[in-house]
This record gives sequence, structure tokens and C-alpha cells, in this order.
Amino acid sequence: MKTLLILISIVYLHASQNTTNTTTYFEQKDITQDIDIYSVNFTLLNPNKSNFGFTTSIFWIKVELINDTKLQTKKVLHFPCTQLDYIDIYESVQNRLIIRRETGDLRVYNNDGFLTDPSYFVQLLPKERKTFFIKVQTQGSMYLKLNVLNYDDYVNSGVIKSQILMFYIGAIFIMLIYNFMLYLYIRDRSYLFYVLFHLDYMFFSLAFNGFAFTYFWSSLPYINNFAMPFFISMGSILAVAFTIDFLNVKGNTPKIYKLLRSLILVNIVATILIFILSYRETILIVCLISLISLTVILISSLHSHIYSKNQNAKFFALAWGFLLIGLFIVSLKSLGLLPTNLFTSYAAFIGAFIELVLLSSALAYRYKLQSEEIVKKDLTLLRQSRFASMGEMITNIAHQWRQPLHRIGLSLSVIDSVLQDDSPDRSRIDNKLQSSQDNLQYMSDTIDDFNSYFKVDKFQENFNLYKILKKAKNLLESRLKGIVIKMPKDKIIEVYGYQNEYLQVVLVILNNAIDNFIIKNIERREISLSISSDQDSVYLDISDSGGGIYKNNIDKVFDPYYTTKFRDEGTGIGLYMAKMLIEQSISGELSVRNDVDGASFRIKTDKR
Amino acid sequence: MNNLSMLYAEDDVDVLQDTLFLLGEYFTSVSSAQDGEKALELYYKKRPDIIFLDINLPTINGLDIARKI
Repeated sequence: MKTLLILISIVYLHASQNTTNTTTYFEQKDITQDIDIYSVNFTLLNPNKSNFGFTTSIFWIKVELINDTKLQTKKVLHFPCTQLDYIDIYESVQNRLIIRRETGDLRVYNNDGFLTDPSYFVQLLPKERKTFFIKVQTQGSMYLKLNVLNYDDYVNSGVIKSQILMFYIGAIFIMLIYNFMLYLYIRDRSYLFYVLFHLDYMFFSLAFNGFAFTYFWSSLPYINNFAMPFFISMGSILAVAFTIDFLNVKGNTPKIYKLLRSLILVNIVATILIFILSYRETILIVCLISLISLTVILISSLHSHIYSKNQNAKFFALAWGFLLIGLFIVSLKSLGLLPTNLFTSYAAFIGAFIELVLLSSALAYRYKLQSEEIVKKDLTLLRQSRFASMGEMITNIAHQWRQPLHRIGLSLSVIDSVLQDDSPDRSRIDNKLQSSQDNLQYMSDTIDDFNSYFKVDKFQENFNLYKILKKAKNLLESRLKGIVIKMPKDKIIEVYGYQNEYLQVVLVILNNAIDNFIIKNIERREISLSISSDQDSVYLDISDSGGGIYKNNIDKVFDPYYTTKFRDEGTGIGLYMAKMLIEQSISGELSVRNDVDGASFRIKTDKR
Repeated sequence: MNNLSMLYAEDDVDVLQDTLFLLGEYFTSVSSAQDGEKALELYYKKRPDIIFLDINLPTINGLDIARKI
């Protein structure tokens, strides 16, 4: 209901022509000669056909104000358009023209009232009659609309109009801040272009509605000559740059990329021309180029949606579509091809607002897709790393089983040999049977260790760190031959987290150390494990004598797919996964530094 | 029997004993070592006809011993 009232008031403000006053106009085509305004014929101004488009003529408006009442009244001469360059208001006193007000957007701000539109207040005594001649000259579109309002109507509807404008600018501003914060958080370049486009659009709106002139540069009217075309062409450049980035045009469709890039160049040239050519020329050029740019943007996004199956492009096309329609309507209105009314005047703003909302959603949607992709990628990495370590484990088991299998084979041979004797040595047979039994048990234990390692932990729990290290040592037994492992002295300290994930991290670090010994052919092979703790945390240091990590690589060891090993020896995800496991599922820290002898990894975890 | 001497280097005691049990009867002289250094020392002392070397041996590995010999 409130919205309806506001709309009615706006319509009223636009349509409110005081019918007791007559408004007529005269078009002076030859502007070089002085004319006698009292001798020319004035035509009635049709409020529905008050847009004369681009013209070099001077337009004269004649308006007669009559106060029929017995009270003093106040009337307002109000131009609902802020873009007129020069407005001279003359009062006719005894057949002579006396200048009362010189205003317009190429003059220092000089208006009555609180609206940004050119307005002039007139006091009328009871039964008084006043005649005004208003001379209007403009390089832009000649929108010859004059409202003659009662002061009260001006105030009532003007307040609402200001409020709506403030609300509009405020909404744009909030969205600007929202997108800027998102940019700070995400650091995605498309967001930056979009935020800048948004900022430019806000300034454009401020300039278009006269706010910028009224409040920012009221004493510098010549800025009005450049402001609008400048903001339009900057907006065009930013919109194209945003499109290139957002739709990844460069990678997907190189031809469209070339086209968009040349559009940016054309827009830059137009921006320079703004400061050289006249307003009338530049506004036409800039509007035309912007419309072309927008059309190309729209086509690119539709193309991207259809050919690259880019879901985001759908939003994108829809959003720009709204703005384009709005701008077309306003352009046609400016050229005088469409009547000036509430809808055609604000079509671009309505379109732009819908565009801003839709594009913000599109950006948010794109961010959501990106985050999902990252999660998916991490899951794939996790799976890859599990597969990789499974492969390593199978190799370890094969190694670990070779020896007991060999022992069992030998035991059977010994038993066979003993049984061939005439009096078999029973105790030797028993001894070999027992030994085989032990070896089979050992093999079975290996399988158990293997199984528990691949079991996914469901809960975080306290576990004994020493036991985990012991387990890691057992699992790697076959690889650790010839390597001295110094176990920590502390056998009781406990750590809180997922046991198997912690174990996986320790295995990754130990395996890396062993690989390094082999690759660099290190003679003295030593790995020392030490545990320390403070009030909240437990630290496990795994140091090796492998000579350390090359200084330039030390920052990269935790990057995914980074490896110094030969292609078939390492996937490069081990340490990346280790860091992810420690930091994300155990909320600890994994770091590395070079010691005197070699690399030293530190796992920091919570004590609980 | 065939007058051959043998040196066997193996760090796993069970394997060492069983192998010696099974092969011992084919050689006149058998010596054994559980690490590389001892194996090399025995080689120079006894100059056996046949040597069995485990590759993974403490101190000096089997391949290095073979190279030195």
C-alpha cells in the first residue's frame, strides 16, 4: 500500500500541471538574431509530446500564473529534468523582460527548494497575475517539461521523490559495499571489475539525477559537460572487462575475446574524445558505443551459455539484458523517438537495478560453484593419496612377507629332510613347526596393521603417541633396514585427534626421508623422533640425516603435485595431504625447517 | 664329499641355521657370518670355493662385498 502511494505521488509530480495556468512554447530556430518575444506566436505545449530530442534551437516557454484566491499563494516552476544546460527565467513586467533566475546544469547551482531539479518559487498576491518567459538552451536532449505546482504539492511529492532517490542510491551503495567486502574476502578479479563498474554506475546515477551537481560540484558546472559521458564510457569499459574475466572468454572463445578487447579500445578512444568534442557529439558517440558494447556482452554471454554450457552465463545474459532494454528505452527517449514519461525516464535505472541484483547473485553463485569444485578437488586428492599410500603399503607388505615366507619354506625343507632319516629328530621337527607358526602369526599381524591403517576413523580420541610411532616403524620395517631409528624417550604422552590420520602423516614423512636417503645415496642414515610438550600442545619432531631441503624448495614442499623425486617415484601429494590432514581434521600444524644434518618436520597437536 | 668349502652370509639367524642344516652335508667346510665385515674377514681367511651372500647385510651389503672380492 505504501509503495502504491509513493508511485501515485511520483506520477502526480510528473503529471501535475496546474490547469488554471496555460503553458505555451516557441521554437527559435535562428539563434543568432534577437527576437521580439511579444510578437511571436506561442503554441500550446502538449505535456505528452514535450521531448524535442537533440536540437540547436532556443526554446521559449511562456507561462501565466493567476492567483484566483483571496489569499497570498506560493507557486513553483519546476523542471523535472536536470540535464538542461541553460534556463533563464524572465518575468514580464509592463511589456519588458526582467531576468529573475539564471540556472541550468552549465551554471553554478542556483535553484530554490530541496530537489536537485531546476526549480523557481513565485509569490502571488490575491488576484495577482504574473507572466514568465523561460528561455531554454541545451546541447543534450531538449526535454521541455515544465510543472507549475502549488508549493504544498511540490513539498509533499518532492519529499517522496527525494526519499525514493536516496533509497535507490542507498541500495546501490549497500550492494557496492557488499560486493567490495566479498572482493576483499575472495580476491577474485571479476569481483574487482564488478565493484568498479558498480561504483561508476553509482556516480552515473548521482550525476544523472543532479545529486552530484547539487552536492558535490555545485560551483563547478562545467564538470556536468563531461561527467555523464565519462561515467557511461567508463562503465562500458568496466562492463566489458568484467565480462572477459567472468565468462573466461579468453580461454573459451578467443574470437569473442578479440572483439571485446577491441571494444575496450574503442571505448578508451571515446573517453578521450569526451574532453575534445562537444557534449552533444560525445553523448551521442558514447551512448552508441555503450549500446554496441552491451549488445556484444549480451551475445557473448548467450554464446557462452549455449556453447560452453556455462550455467552462470544464463544469469549474466539475463542481467545485462535488463540493463540493455532499459538503456535502449532511455536512448530512444533522448532521441525523441519515445514519449517522455515516468517509465521511459527511469527505465535504465530500473533495468540497472535488476541487473545489479542479478549479477551480484551470479557472482555469489559462481563463488559457490568454485568452492564446491575445491572441495571436490580435495576429495580427489585425498583419494589419490590414499591410493598412493595403499600402493606403498602393499609394497611394504610384500617386502615384509618375503622373509617369513622364505623362513617357512626353509622350515618345510628342513622337516622334509629330517623325515627322510631313519630315526627322525622329533625335537627339530617341533622346533620348525613352532617357528613356522610364529612366522604365520607375524604375517597375520602385518595384515591387521594394514587393515587398521585403512580403517577410517570416526571419532577423535586420545591416543598414545609412542604406540603410533611404534606402529609406523613396524609398518615400514622392510624399508627401514640399514636406517637407525631413534625412538623418543617419552612413552606415555597422549595426543587428541584421529589416530589413523596422524599415523598416515608420520608415514608420509618417514617415507619421504627414506626416499631421500636412497635418491641422494646418503651413507649415514638416521631418523630421530622426539616428543616434547607445553601446557596445551604436543610436538613431534621427525629429523633425518638426509642433508635437508634445498633452500628454494622449502616453501614449496607442501604444495600439491610438487615433487623432487622422479616422475614414477612420487606423486607430489604426500606432504600436501599430510598438511591438510593435520591442519583440517586434527586442527594442528605441520611445519618444516632445515637442521644441521637434514630436514626436520614438526607436528603440533592439541593435548587433551 | 666333493671337497668344496662354502661361506654363507645372512643376518637372519633362522634362515642361516636352516640353510646350513640343508646345505651343510654337501660341503667339507662351512663358515657363516651375520654381517658384511665378518663375511669379508672370513673370505680373506678361508678363501672358500662358493660364497652365498644376502644383499641386505649390516655394515657392508652383499653387493659391495661381491664388488670387493
